[in-house]
This record gives sequence, C-alpha cells and structure tokens, in this order.
Amino acid sequence: MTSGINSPVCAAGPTAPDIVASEETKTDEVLDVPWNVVVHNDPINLMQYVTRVLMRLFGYPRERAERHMLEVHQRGRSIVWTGARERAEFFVQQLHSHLLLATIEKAR
Amino acid sequence: MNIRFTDTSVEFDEMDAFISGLLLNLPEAANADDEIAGRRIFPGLKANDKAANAEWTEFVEPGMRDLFRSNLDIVAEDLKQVRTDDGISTLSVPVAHAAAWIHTLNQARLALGARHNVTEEDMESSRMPEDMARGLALLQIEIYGEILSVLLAGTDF
Repeated sequence: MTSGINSPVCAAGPTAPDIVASEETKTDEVLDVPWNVVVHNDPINLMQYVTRVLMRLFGYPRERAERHMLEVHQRGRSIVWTGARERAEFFVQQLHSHLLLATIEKAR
Repeated sequence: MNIRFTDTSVEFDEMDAFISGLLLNLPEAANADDEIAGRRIFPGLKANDKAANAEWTEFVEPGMRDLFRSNLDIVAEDLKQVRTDDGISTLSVPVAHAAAWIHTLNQARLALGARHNVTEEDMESSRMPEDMARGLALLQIEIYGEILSVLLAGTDF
C-alpha cells in the first residue's frame, strides 16, 4: 500500500486515518491560536512618543495608550494587541517602523 | 535654541555652535549600519526563534531600511540649509518633513543608546559619567529628546 498522507487510498487504510486526523488538527491549531503583540521596555524611547505611536497604530484612546505605556515602563512589557498571526506580524512591523521594541508570542 | 512653528515650516533659531554641531551630527548619529545600532534599530519578530527572525530579516527588514534611509536623507538634505551668522545658526525645515525629523531624532537617540550601552539609570541620573564619550552621547540623547518633544507637541504625528 502507498503511504502518501494526502492519498484517499491511504486515508481509507487501517493506520492512515490517525495520521490524517493528526495533521489536520495540527494545522487548525496553528491557524486558530491567537498571538500577542508585546511591546518591550527600552531606556531611551520617550513616554509621550510611545503613547502617541500606540494611539496612532491601534486607534487607542489616550488613556488606554498611556496604560500600556506605563505597563511597559514599570513591568518591562505590555501585551498591546491579541489576534490572528498575520495581523500580529503586521502590527509588529508597524511598531518596528516606529522604532519600538516589539515581538509576537502565542497567547496562553 | 528656540523652535517655533509657522503654517509651512519649523524654524530653529538662536542655535549656538554646540547645538548646531549636534544637529549637523544627526545623520551620523542615526546611522544604523554598524552591528550594535543595527540590532536595536532592526529587532527580530520573536524572542529565541532564529528561523522566524531570519525570515523577518530577509523579507520585512529591507522595506524598513529603505524607509529609515529615506527619512535620514530628508534630514541630511534639510541640514544643508543651516545658516550661520556671527556664530549663531538658524534652520528652516518644511513642516511636511517633521515626521522624517521625528523618526531620525528618535533613531539617533536609540542608536547612540545602543552604542554606549545606556541604561534606565543613566537616563534618570543627573550626574555626568566619567567617560567623556559616554557623557557626550548622553547629552546628545538628552538634547535630541528635547527637540523631539517639541516636534511631537507641535505636530499631529
């Protein structure tokens, strides 16, 4: 018997269904897991600048942007957005374009 | 130094030789071609993920490098208009260039901070470090920060 994972013959065989099911589940997980956009502290960026960038990129009102900025300053990091990976990467790119330290991580 | 806004320009007036020298040094300070500054100006996408960061460096970073270089070129071109009379310099910058100035001032601060390993304590301390080069870098970061604050307050960035 051939053992191609995507082969219908294989999917009908005695051991293949497990392989197919496992592959599909993993793919779904990767697509569905939300991702956090994390802004990290640095000693140089001005507080007012960080606030302005968060307001500008995420459309946050000043109060929320300031909350994130203070969290970054006091705790070293702040999750500023959570959602699909592609969008998270877009936001990180925008944050880097404004010279903020930012990364993505899987949301727990 | 005095910074004021008109409808079409940002006017830098009453700059002494030290301040105008710092301003003229802005493109060099902001240059991120060296490895240490480059690491700060172009950070990776994910902590501890070499593959994701390599992809980021290959596909995303070049666009940012072009953007940053274009901002720096605008500032360098504007700085050619510095006029000095009796040791006092002035500069008129089109208000449309304010975003490029804000970016480049910030990039210079971050690049200097990376090169001189500037910490939170350094930024909060009022004492000048004994190392002259480091002291000058901190002063430069401080003065660029003051100009940046004025530009942020005076524009809708």
